[in-house]
Amino acid sequence: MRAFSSPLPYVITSSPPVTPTLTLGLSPSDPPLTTSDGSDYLTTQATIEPEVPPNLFEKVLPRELQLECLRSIVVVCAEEHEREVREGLWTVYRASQERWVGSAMGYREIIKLSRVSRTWRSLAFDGQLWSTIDLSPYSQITRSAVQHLVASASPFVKHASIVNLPRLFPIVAKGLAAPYIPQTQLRSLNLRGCRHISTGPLHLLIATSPMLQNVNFCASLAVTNYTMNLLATHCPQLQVVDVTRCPYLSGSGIVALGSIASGPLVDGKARKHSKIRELRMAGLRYANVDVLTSIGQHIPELEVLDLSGSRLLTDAAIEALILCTKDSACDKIALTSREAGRDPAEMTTHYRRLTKLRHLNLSSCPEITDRACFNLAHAVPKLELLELADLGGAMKDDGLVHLLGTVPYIRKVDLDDAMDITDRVLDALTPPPPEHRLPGTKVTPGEMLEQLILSYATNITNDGVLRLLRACTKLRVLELDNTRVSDSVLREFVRTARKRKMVGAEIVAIDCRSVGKAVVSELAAHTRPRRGWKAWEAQAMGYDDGSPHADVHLPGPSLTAAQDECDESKTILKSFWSWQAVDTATALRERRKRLVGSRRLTEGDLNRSRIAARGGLDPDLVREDQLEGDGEEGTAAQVSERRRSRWVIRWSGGRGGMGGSMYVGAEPPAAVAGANNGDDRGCVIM
Amino acid sequence: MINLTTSDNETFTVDKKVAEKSVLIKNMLEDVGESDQAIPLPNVTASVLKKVLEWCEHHKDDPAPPENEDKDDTRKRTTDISEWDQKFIAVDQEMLFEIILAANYLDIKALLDVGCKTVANMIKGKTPEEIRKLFNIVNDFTPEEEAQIKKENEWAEDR
Repeated sequence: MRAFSSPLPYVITSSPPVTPTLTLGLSPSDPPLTTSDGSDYLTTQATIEPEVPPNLFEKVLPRELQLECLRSIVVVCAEEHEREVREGLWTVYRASQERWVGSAMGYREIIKLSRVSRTWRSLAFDGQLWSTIDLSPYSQITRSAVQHLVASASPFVKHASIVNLPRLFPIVAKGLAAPYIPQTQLRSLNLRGCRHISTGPLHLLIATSPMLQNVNFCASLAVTNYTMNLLATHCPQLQVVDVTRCPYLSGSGIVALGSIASGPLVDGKARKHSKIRELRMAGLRYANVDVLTSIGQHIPELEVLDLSGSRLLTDAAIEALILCTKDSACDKIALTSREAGRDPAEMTTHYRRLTKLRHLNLSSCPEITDRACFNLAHAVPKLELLELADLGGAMKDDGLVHLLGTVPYIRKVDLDDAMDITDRVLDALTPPPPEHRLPGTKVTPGEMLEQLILSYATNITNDGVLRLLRACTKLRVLELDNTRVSDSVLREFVRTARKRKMVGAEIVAIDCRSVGKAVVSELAAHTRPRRGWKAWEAQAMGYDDGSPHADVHLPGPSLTAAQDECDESKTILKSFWSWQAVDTATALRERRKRLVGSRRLTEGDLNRSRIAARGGLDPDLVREDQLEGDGEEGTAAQVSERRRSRWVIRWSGGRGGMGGSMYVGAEPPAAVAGANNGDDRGCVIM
Repeated sequence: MINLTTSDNETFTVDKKVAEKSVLIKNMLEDVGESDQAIPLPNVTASVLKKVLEWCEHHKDDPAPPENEDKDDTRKRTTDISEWDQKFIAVDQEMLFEIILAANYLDIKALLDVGCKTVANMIKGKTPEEIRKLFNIVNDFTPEEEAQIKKENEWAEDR
């Protein structure tokens, strides 16, 4: 249902031009101003009683400064939030109570101002405040509000973002590409997650936005190969393109994107170059040799290339990306057969294109083998992030070692599921100790390494990992699921992370048979089980920040302060045993919630009982708790707590307002607990 | 020393360093060169200029703000209002707006920021009715319009 069929007529009317000369001469000694003069055009009813005190905001300040004050609201909100985070006042409890923070809060405040008066309505929707329209945080925003906003702000909008809000796309697109605007000012357009939108308005918007630099059409059905044609033709400034999982896009669209932007080749050399730096096209259909050849030839500035999930992508296609001849005009490197990964007896020189790639993602491409690594070696000297996950046994030592030796700046390597790799790969990433380094070498591979994912690499040894983490001084994240590593790796990682004062260090060792419970409890003081974050969206996770108000809705000391999950100086340790710790903590929190609730009622504290009532206190429960007592830690009780807490986790997606149903839901009669959860919940809500 | 004459013909004598907090005066001095003649400031009254100069005096040793800032970027790095500034700006509405106006005219970016942020803090978190009361604004919506707008903004009201 629409609230309005057409925009309200008074939105467009701007406030009268406030001439500075009128107001500048004012001094405190002047007689007090009344709103009766000059404000006739502000209001429709001109009958204003003379005793009305003056509206100094509109009287003294010209419109530009009024807008500056409104703009300051966003700045003030953002600063306030930053300060609170900095000073540690921003807690999990507060995050669960305050949904709007930072600039999202600021822009919301500005929209709220549109209710004050007509003048303020025109101020709040003034385009000068809205060069960035990011509606993503406001999932509930009404179409009519967006309509007014876009109608008055469209000539000013530089950045538009409606992530996951496809229902707003028709309004936004129509407003931005309005007929009276020859071309938009758009620099970035983020339509991520807008799956069902129509192609026509999108194409019109692209065709009228020559300054576009950054587009994100992730998962959109509207994107076709012709969309890429339009982008290449109309947007010469384009730098970042994200067309991840666009089902109606195929390889030929990407070919067009590169070749049209570059124009025809003259003497084998493109006269102008596409400026694209970042191309994300995971799940692209027909990502074949032609596509990669085109990218290599026409997009020389490319730094980020995401090809993950391309089912037809072959080693030959990767070779095409870096293929060039002696006469090619691009930056190139000459290699011997051995360096090129060919038969050393061959006496030919191989040429490869020197790319600027910093991030390459070839995960989940079933046709890719370590042959691709041989091809990429020496051609990607600036590579920082390399993702080769989910390639299974196709990744072998030889290719990886060959490639890793030529990428000194490597920061992240993802080899998840590379089950055949051995310690040779680890050694290739282990920089030699400083005293053994050859003079003149600047950076050796591994020195910059921050993230390494070796999950399911069952052949790597404990010693190999230990050597690596001692030598890689910047290593921050290490994932070792289902490997043969043992307690010593965990101990060493936590120790070095503390010694190096790492922020946000993480080690993952789930399903490692040699990792025991003892080491997890031994390291508990310096580790946390999860990477907690404080935001309204995170409350379903129930993160613990060790603050007095960690238990949502409940004051009082936290029972689980030992595992502050938001302390960035602690190492995150994920293992089977740390999951259990999370579970126990949740159970304890639930238990505490009930205990505190019952005590509040007996104390008769009105304020607190209100909270308890919101928690849906059950009289039966009070009795149970009183019987249980405070310090009692019965094993049987704990087990049943745990079972309940699981049940709660499943349904506790809501926030404060849902607390009631959540809480009652946590206490189903034992007989019902095993029954259909959906039914239970339905009862609760009714 | 620099002489400044206000609109109500009062003359202030201030240190050059203090006066040059104002980009307007700084540019004037560069254009005209040093002279004994007073610089006329026809848009500022004595009481406001006194207040502004008090601020300039206190901040005369602050480092110059970086230039290159993009005007549209609201997430630009800014600093919180200092305690002294908070006390300084705790004045009645009329003086506050006059200071903003003068800071804009004299081109003193930091003072303009302080003023606008103070107004922003006054507005922030208030209901429309409270804002009307704060600035003596007349609600000129018809009841129907108001109901419509209220409905349109319902999403922004709840938390």
